[in-house]
Amino acid sequence: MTPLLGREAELRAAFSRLASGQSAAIVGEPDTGKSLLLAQLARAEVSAEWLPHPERLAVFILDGRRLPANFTAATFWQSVFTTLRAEAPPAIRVEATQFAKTGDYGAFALERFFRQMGRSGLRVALLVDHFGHFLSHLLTPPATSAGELLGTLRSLSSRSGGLSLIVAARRRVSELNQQTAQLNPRGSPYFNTLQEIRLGAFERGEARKILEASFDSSIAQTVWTVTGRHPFLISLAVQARPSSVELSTLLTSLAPRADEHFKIAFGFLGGLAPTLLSLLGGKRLPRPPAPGDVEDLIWRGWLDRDSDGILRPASLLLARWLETSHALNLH
Amino acid sequence: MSNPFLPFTPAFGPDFVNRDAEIKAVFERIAKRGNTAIVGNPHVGKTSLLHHVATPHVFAAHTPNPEQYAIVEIDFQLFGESKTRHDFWRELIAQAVESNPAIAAPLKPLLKKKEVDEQALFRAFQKVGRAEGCVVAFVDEFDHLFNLPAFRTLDFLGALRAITMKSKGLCLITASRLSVAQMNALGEEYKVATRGSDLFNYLDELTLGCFDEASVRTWLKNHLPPEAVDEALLLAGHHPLLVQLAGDALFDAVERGVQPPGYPALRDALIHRAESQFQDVWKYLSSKAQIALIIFALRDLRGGAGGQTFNLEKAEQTLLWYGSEVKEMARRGTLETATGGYRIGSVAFHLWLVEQKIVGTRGDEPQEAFTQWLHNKQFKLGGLITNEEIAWLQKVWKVIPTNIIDLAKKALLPNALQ
Repeated sequence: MTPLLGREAELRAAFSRLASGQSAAIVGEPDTGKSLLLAQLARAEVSAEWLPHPERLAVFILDGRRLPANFTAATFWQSVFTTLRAEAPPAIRVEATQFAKTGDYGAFALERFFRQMGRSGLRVALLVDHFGHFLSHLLTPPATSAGELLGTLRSLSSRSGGLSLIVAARRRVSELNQQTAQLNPRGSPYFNTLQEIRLGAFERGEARKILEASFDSSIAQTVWTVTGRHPFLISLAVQARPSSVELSTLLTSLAPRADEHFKIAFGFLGGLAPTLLSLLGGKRLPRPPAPGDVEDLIWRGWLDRDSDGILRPASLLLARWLETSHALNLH
Repeated sequence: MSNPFLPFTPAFGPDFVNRDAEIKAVFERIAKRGNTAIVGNPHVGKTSLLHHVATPHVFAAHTPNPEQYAIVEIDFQLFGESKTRHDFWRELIAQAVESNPAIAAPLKPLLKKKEVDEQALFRAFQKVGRAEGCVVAFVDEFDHLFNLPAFRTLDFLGALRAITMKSKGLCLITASRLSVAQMNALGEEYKVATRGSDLFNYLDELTLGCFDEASVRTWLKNHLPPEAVDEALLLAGHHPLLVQLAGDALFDAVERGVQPPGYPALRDALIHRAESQFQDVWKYLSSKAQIALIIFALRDLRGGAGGQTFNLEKAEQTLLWYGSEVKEMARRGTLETATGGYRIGSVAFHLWLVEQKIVGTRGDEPQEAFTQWLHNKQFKLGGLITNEEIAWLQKVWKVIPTNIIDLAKKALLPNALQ
């Protein structure tokens, strides 16, 4: 498995939410480390470092891309309890086994169970990776149990004290709410109790630290020029383990996968960001409009600002992609 | 010391603060067998208040004869597509029996039936009432019922109304975003309402707004140094969620050794964290309220942006046209009272309004408008920027007030802003 690079602050934020029984959405563009971060939350040896009482927490992780065709609210809860009975810490396993014997996975039975868990200081953390896929699957017609499952998840994770929900998604919470607004146009949106933990580009210092730990200093400098602070590009370089300081060689070897990434990630940019990047076309921009979107692109690791305030693509890989694939001819 | 701020999570148990007046009001109404609709904006504390007053020891502390009551807590979001009104009544009765078997005894036989007959229900609650007992049902997310065809029916809503109004054995305390008037209007829309009577007129509305200054300051002082308290109040105003968010960010900053000059750098992150909340609040405002809020946002710029000086006396005058919207926003905590009127209490919300809804530099909305603007200006790329573009921001700022006021006068502003 690819190791999680950096992300200590985000990991701290996620464990802090988990420790206090809150729910969260880890959001970011593709390949920024969301799944790896979620996987860290599920690892017992990592939890033991961050949580005061890991033995009182059971973690259930679900991949939203791998849902069975007959997926319903009832089958979902059955699979949760099957896992809890097999893998949860002993105190939770006993409770889950007793509950499963009733065979009642209705919303109110679940509420009683999780409330009781909360009162006993026990908790289940439900981690859903690829939450966008999970939602699409759930919302595919006839979607008979979508509202029931989403409403129950919201209620149990915000009110019972016995369930935390942590999802990883490309879209932001407001967009997830919008996606399900047709199901519940009145009342609270299903995801407004999820706190966002946003995965953007690495901080400059963090990126340097990762590169210096992974490469000789001469190669690290070349990699930095090619990848900038962008998490996916850095991860690509670390996996490629280049042994040459030759810039063009590195650029050519990483470009195919980087281009693929930019193509997908570009579709997830909001506001004026796509227009702005098209205008930039790999060149330098002294003073563009749309300052909010500029800041967002800097945060994502697409752009960087020079000391004199001039904007430029944050990596050679992006500059190359913009020049060759995306620059609009508006002359 | 662990971080005591828990944004986006209802404040239960010792985390619950403030709301003394509202708690008193709810218990006064329960004593008179009156029904209450707790109404408010997203994350203003409806669920927290509802659960707090339903907590047995709090209930007992505020009620002379707590043994006369059975307490029920229901979250309407637990009802999905497959549920019916019978499931609601069965759950309510099951909880009442569990809470106080003696008081709820007349209801217990109904649990044996798969479908609950409304006449039988009425008679059973009447028996509870005649024995001086009362089932108090705290129903959260009450307006979710409008999403469920099985519940927006006269069978359900009519029976609920009749039993709570006439049996004396059931007292209803609801929490919803929708006001009683809005719920009555929806009753009409779904053709549920009976001739001559509003469906929800038995609910006495209690609107939740912001916290008061003294309580917030005292609470923050328990967890933050004085400079951080001031910054939190500046960022959040007195809105419960924003106070939690600002407190959370500042608590973390203080732990990391950030000094007061570094606090303003936290603002951008806070706006991002609160963005879904701001969008949610904005979406629920009427068009007129949105116009009024934009005028407040412009007025509060105080002429400082982009080096331009605004004269917004006209804007202030136009606010007179939106008197009822302004008052409603103040009641719900979107605006706060200030010397001589109202203001946007939170700097974070104000900045979001300016950036998202006035300048339009974040989010999805302005893309088309901006592209159009580029074409209109015959924007040209020569690899570098034109003089026109360099002047863009300043020009926009310069023309905004006139445009906004003109659009507002023509009631076109919401379209222009969405």
